[in-house]
Amino acid sequence: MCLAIPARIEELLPDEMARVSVDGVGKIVSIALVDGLVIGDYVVLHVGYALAKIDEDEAMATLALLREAAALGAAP
Amino acid sequence: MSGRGDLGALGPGAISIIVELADDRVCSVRVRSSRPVHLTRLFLGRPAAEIPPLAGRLFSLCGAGHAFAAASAIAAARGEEKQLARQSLVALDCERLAETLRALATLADDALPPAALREILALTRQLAADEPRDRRAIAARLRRETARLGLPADPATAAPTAGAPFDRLWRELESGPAIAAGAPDGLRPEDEASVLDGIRAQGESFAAAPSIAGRAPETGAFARHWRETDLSRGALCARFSARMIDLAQLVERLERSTPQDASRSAAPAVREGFSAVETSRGELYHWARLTPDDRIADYAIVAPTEWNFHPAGPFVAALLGASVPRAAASQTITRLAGLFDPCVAFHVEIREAAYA
Repeated sequence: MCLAIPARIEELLPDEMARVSVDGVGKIVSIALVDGLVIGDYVVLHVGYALAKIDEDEAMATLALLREAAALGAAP
Repeated sequence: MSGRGDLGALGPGAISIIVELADDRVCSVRVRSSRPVHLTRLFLGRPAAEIPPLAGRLFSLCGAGHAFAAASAIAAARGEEKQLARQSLVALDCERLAETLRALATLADDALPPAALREILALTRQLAADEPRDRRAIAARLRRETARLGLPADPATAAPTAGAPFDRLWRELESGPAIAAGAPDGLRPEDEASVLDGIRAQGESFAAAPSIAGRAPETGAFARHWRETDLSRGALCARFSARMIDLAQLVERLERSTPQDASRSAAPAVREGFSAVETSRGELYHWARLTPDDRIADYAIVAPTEWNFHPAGPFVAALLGASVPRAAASQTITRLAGLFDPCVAFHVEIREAAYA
């Protein structure tokens, strides 16, 4: 299923790239498909691309769900 | 951010494709998926009404499709009449168009100009929003922007506009080694009984690798449109053509504001519901069983990628026996996988066959 993960923009880089934080883990992704991003914005990531900007509440709610899913997956 | 690292190993996963060549012929294809299969456990015990938005949020790549499928399956399980919200159908078409274009953009370096793609994605988001007042103007811009990419009004009979990005992509695909194209074994509405049986009997393991005995069903643009393509041009061109046909139909529907509900839903048993929704990558199934107090007792999702990238599925079948020169194998097979369009990252590894 098409899971897409929220990430926070930490640094804008040349060539429409950005350093993002995914639940505390840093990644470099392309932001070529989303206009007007600034540091602190949240985006949905998929295969190295930021696909859409989402608000912080939405990002937090999604991350909470994903943490819950991770815990379920770890359960026997 | 609190909870740093709590996601652990949970991520979207990936598909690994290992292809063995012998004398420039594909003699083995191994497909392995590391996609999480347990995510619908999150739904268990929750009020049914919470599930459509939750599914849309969790699977946001095709969020409109998942929310729609969840709502339809739950409505069926409750014994309710299907409620058709026109704007939900528009959102489905917009999502399908955006995801199809995004996948085509990955087929070659600079396949589609990022600014053009960004503009089209923004337009689809505007159209999908609730009742935009300038809907006609947005749809007209969408038509213009896709025409600039080279999308003809009828890709079944007309080539992409000369010199436009789709034309360059088409020529690029045409210039590579041709993998023979055959008629796909399309997943059909009549297969739903088999899908239901699989879900009920095998649960998560069926959702992770769905199959129907003796078949390798395919779902998606090529399964929908292969009859309108020229199979003699090879698998890459025929599949690209099917995607352009899909795009042209979506642009037409959005411009005319005539969304179609091609989804199906049914209640195979009391408090049990099933829905099938056509998305960019193909048929998306949701199945729900409810408790008497309208909570989720059991839930399953079967996504199109799992059919198309089944270890013995249509992608594997399309490649086995194909003649592909070693030097061009990685690029050609990566493009074929891109045209099958899995909804996760994938990696292609080419090996020489080892003989005992």
